[in-house]
Amino acid sequence: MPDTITTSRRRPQIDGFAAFWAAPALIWNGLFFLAPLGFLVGMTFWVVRNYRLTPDFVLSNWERMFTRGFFWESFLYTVQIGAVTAMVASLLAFPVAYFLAFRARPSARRLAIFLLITPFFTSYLVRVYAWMVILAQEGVVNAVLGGIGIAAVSMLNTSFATVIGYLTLCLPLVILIQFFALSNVDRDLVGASHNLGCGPVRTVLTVVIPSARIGLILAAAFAFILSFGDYVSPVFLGGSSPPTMSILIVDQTKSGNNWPRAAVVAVVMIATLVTVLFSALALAYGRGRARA
Amino acid sequence: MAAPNPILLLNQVTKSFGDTVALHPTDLAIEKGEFIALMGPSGCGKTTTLRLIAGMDYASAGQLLMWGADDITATPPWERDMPMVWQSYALFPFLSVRENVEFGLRQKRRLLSPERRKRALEWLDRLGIADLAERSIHQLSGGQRQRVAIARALALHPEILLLDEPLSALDANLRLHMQSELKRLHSELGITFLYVTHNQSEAFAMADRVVILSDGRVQQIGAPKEVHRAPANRFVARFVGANTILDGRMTGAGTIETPVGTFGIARGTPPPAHAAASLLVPADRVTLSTEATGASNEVAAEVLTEEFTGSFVTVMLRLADGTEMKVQKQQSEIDGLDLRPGARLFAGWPGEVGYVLPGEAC
Repeated sequence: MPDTITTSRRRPQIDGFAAFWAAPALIWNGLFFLAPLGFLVGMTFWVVRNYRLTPDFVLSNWERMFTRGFFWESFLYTVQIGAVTAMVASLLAFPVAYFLAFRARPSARRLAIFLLITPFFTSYLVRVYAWMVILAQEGVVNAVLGGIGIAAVSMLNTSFATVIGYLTLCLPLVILIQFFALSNVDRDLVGASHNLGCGPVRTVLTVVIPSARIGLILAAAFAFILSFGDYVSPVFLGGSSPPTMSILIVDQTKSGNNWPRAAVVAVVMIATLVTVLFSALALAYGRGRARA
Repeated sequence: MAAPNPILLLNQVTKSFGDTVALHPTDLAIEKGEFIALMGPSGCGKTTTLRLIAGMDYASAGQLLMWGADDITATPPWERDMPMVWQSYALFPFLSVRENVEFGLRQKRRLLSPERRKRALEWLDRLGIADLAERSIHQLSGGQRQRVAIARALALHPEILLLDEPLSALDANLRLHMQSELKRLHSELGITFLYVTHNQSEAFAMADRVVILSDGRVQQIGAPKEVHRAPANRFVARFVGANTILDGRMTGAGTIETPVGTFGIARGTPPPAHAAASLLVPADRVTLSTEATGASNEVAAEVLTEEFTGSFVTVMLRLADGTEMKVQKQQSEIDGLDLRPGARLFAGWPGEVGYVLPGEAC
């Protein structure tokens, strides 16, 4: 008797109830994500004749993009600035998330979570426009600097401004993810660390960060993913120069209607994000434990 | 006999959280090498006391002194030298078994890697889990985790080991086994063990002295036998559990008059004549018989329940006034008796065991 029970439990069964509820999401993703993705990949082999997109099977789009210096420059720049954003956002967020998780009173914690969600009430574009006003040559920052006798600094149309924009997009989210990760750290582990000779700083490094590793890595991955694909910040704050991959896509479609080459860029971006996400997940979950 | 200065002295140590007093001013002197158990029901202040000693909370008033001179009242936990074994084990899940044991050796003792490794393996071996050294914590059973936690603390070679309900998550057999193992480690190492538990049998089986707490106050400090035979007050008598309390009043003749009879007193400090008092009858000293023997310490009773616990039988009786009396006997001692619920019999006890407690309003 017990044997039949275990075998029937182990046998993978299609659960009608779960399938019913999962179906809408699966169908939606199939129709509006997987199918277009396939189409996008297919389009990279098409050609443009007389400004018209024509189905074909040529490798020239891939060849053309991969042999051009500007493509690789743009790729490296986008990866680099995304990585910088992920790192800066993680470092800026950590003290805030740590304070909220370990020190703040419950009422202060609730208020802070609320405040961290409010930025998402306003459009990201509006917030980027606000930064243009602040960072412009005649903007708020330079007015203040001028007031204390410091010459105006060019901040708009720089990588610095782009990163500011990216941070506007992802910092609240990174803080929230880190906060939830730190909230789940077992307090007894912190106590045990103190008990075994670690002061507060060493406890953060040797116990808190390894314990919250999954959430901290996912938060950084989110920051990278959001900024890697963003178009608004590099255009309005970064001045399109050097162009990011997202700007490259727009360039290819606007100048010469070259949808297949834009598709090449898009496919490379998706491949990059998939690689980054899988590496992040492998780093977070893969090794059962990290060295202290 | 005792060292001139206790290894740890609590001098009027107090802890309050806002308006709530978790620990009223408490004095406790712990000698080197002692096995002390702090016990009481939940919320009694035992865990608060341990947290104050470990430095996880700081005393609101009073002093903690080591060796009579070293004031550690405000010393942060990482500068105290009292490793702890946690109820939840608090093992680091991102480190292997060996790395867990090495943690304190690295952070606190600042040992170099080969030395750390050697000592960690020694202690894992001593606790019988050397073969698990490279396992991850997730792969261990509760009992194995318990051993890792003990090894991690003892590898530091501390003078005081703190244990916070370390056995409460283990099943009964394993708990008994670990009890004797802890007792063995204590006598081999000769260091001080400070053990918090709500489990009376655990505390009594291991400790040299027990500290019984209730409502943030120490109720009694003494050897288990002492606490068992001569509880300081009604709370301790009830907490220790193996007693029947007969409430009454002192007579002029130094006996105690209760609704079920007047009995002689052999031990304890009798309150003045005509004052309220209670007589304590230890459960294991009661004898049962079907016929009245005519002895002076004897009452008529009715069987309520009979319960087997291993080789012991616990019989609950109801006396004439409704008081419940607890009797614990070996199975062989009561073989011939009819103990079905409702059966009537007589319960007696030798005159020399009657212990008097000051009466309290109840």
